[in-house]
Amino acid sequence: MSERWWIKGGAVYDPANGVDGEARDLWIEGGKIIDPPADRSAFAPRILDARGLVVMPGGIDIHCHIAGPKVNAGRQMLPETRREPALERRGGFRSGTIGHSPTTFATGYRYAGLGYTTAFDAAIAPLSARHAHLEFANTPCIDKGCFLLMGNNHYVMEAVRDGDSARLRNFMAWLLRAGGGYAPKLVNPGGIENWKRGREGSHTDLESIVDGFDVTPRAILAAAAQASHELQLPHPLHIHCNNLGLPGNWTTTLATMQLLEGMRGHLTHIQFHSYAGGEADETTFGSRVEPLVEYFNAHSNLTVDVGQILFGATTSMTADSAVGHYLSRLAGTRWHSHDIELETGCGVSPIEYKERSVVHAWQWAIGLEWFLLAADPWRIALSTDHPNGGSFTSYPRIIRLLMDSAFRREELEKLPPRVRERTALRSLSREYSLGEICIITRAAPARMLGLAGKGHLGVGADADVTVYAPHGDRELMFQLPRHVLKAGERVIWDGELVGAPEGETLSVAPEYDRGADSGITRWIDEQCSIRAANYGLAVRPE
Amino acid sequence: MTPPQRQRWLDVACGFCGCACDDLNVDVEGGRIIGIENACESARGSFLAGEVPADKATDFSIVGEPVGYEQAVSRAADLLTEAEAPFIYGLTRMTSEAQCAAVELADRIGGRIDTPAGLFCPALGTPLQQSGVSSCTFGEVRQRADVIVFWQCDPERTHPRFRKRYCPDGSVGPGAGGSRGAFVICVGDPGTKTATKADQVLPVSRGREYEAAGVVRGLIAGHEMGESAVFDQTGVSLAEWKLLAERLRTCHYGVIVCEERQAGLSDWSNRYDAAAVHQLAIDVCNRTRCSVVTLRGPGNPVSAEMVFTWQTGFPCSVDLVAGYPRYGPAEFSLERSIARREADLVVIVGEDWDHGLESICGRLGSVPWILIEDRAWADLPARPAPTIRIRTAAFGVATPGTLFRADGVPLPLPRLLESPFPDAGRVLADMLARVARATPTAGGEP
Ligand code: SF4
Ligand SMILES: [Zn+2]
Repeated sequence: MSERWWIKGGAVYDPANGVDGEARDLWIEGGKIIDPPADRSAFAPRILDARGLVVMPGGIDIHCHIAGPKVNAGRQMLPETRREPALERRGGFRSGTIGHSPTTFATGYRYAGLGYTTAFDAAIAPLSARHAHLEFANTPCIDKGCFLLMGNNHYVMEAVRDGDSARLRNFMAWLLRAGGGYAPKLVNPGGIENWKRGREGSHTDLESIVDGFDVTPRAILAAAAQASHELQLPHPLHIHCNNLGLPGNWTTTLATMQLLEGMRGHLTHIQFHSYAGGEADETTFGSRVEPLVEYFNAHSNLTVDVGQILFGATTSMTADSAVGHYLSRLAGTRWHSHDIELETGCGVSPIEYKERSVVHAWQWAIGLEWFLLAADPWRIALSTDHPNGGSFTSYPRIIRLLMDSAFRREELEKLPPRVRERTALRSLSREYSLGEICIITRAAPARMLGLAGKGHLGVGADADVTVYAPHGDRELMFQLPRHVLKAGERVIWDGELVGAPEGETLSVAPEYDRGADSGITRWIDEQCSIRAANYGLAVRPE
Repeated sequence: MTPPQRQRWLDVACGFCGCACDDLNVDVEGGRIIGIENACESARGSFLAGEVPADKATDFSIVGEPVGYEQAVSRAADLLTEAEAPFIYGLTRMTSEAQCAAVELADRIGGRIDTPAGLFCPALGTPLQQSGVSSCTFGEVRQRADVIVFWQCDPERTHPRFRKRYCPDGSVGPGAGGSRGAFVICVGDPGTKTATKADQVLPVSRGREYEAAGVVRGLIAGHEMGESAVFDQTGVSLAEWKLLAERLRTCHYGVIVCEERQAGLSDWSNRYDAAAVHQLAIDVCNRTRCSVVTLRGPGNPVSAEMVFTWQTGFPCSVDLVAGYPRYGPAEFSLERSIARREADLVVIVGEDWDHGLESICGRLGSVPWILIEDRAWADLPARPAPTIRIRTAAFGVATPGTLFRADGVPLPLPRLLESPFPDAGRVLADMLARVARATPTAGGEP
């Protein structure tokens, strides 16, 4: 239950409002931050004595995979990883298993346990939206939303081919509404369609022709970014560039950045797209963060999240089927691929990131290079592309790597010489401040997502508040928040899970020309194996 | 008196076989379904049956005595509270939402839970857990397939509208191979209707699916094979297998269709066979695209796996007695649990009674059991009398919620009829609420 609160005397980090660790009081009523009440005794709040503690807005994960068929396939695929540790049923809380992708209830509890109160699943096929939303209904403690896959959608590609921007804009708006989505997402635009058509390899540059559609990835990107801009969406186009994971892909990434000139755009898990090297030659693999970050620093229309990897076993899951296939063949692992008509693919396979692997060590270093070379923390968000680069539960470790350069150097020393001697990390002594960590884990993602009520603690903001006990070891500090409130309701108290509010599902409903509806539904009725009336969330009048 | 309102529902999804056709038009008048378009014969019958009228004697009963709903639920909750090892089984004729309630109940009371899929799931687990799975939605079959292999199945009989709705008919959109229509190969009984419509038939011996898949895999990998050995093992000549392998290797988009538990044609109780077919498709994928489409039985079995997986991490056969999910395909099956006295109360909910329960029915009399079921007692095959029976709203006609098609595409089910009976999910939630009152540790709200 949402209560009245007086959070007293904490060192408040609220960068959006220029507060950097000053002792402040916060007042909460009706799930929102309010002005100090005129009559405190009449207000009769619960008091959270935060003196000596650090107070921040709840964390926001801008890019993770926590719901839908892909995640569920990942959960099912590796039962051997789910035995230990399990989450026991306790009091009114549900049980669960963890593995690389925790079950839904466990996901909500764990995010809250980390001080996070909002998360976005970054890759839902509109055709499966209903499934994702069912999982959301079973994911407590956090607000959640999803980005809908559009980059290989046949309707999108037809509209782009015809140069019909109105048709594209109307369709994207219709799709966001039909699927209860929060933002449009492109994954390897055009490349998945080519892969489904049996193109060898997955290398697609921006000028490659998408078979059967006579469009290029460049055209899809430009048109979808423009349409997102015109629809005035709170979050701009969310882009997983072409050629993820491939050596030498940095040129594609730079070209993508350049074509967005003058428009907002978010490039996700940028780490996976910043590689030097030629094809099939591991010795040339390396970092090209520097030229990319130079461009990025000079172009404020762009934002990124990092997609940091951590060493250890995890599961790769992506709409980019070609990547999934490549990884599973490389490692000889189990492989799941699922082609979704008219829209996308899906690839799931286990992966282990090893310190002694030159490629993996480079990936680790490249992510950190991005964090440390990006000049403006407001345009870079912390992510692991959970579970792809590692679990969201490893965010505290990344925070320590950013805040503690001595620790970072120690970790760097463990890497193969070829990597540790060449990475820019060698000469980077930058340490993030607490205020900057607060930016990249909440204030910046909120701003990128256009969430006016989140990521800050000003009057009117959602009362999603995390209270940490300061600790010299920043990993420990961020691993175990002392208290977490979700919309004014206690979720974590004294480090224990005490509440599991349902949380909200966040979606957008952009305005568009309703005259387009009949054409869209006719197209779906003709092309899709389900009827338009049943597509997406298909909420029927009772 | 106002004349009964006539209402037409368009694009209704059908939950009576794994095809989940969603283009049915249904006319409802006076609380009955009076007309239906686009349904196959079997669906027509199921829809027109609608809500079977209430039978006061058996709808809600305790050891055969008619009672009210409240009494039945209360007594069921008492049994659940007393039970040390409750087992919840079925979950097929239910919406996803009701399945969520079933898994929640098992979690909160600390029981075992399984679906009929558990009966067919060997200790090694599902194909996804063994080798992986390359699959696609039905629409991809229609848009892209240029070779379709019906692998020991007869959808013309079991999934009557599958081929017409989802297989290429030469009039498709911008997708790849399908525009020419697909070359259709039938591996299995040449006498089936599916086989008579195929371009090529390979009459593999019954029970030799595993060997057959191995032969095709070997040929695709380029291995030499002895002619007589191949014929002995599969009943089909090497030359014919070579043709099949060549078609798969050189197609644009191959699709292998199999049916999970088709009695009489194939012994799918051994899922090694299924895994072999999936491995074959994965092998083909190293050269071109190939997907396996697994047809599923009636009701909502895919949804049950999905719900199990997102709530527990495992697709079936979950034990929650220890307070957290443990996975024991085969080991935690209902049959074994009763036989080993590891279940002292059985709740059967949303079971379709069509498959696999014969061996269990004999044992059901030995423990108290609760039957939560959407059909009239008289319409069920003979079963030992349940301790408690609770009738629920008819699945597919009076159960708004979500249905998963066999390819994982979720669809809405509308409420075509008002039912005098509660939804299964509601019954389970009511039972849980009462159990929670009796044992606060089972908890409802945190
Ligand atoms: S084929 Fe199956 S889903 Fe389609 S109408 Fe018949 S029973 Fe229903
Ligand atoms: Zn991602």
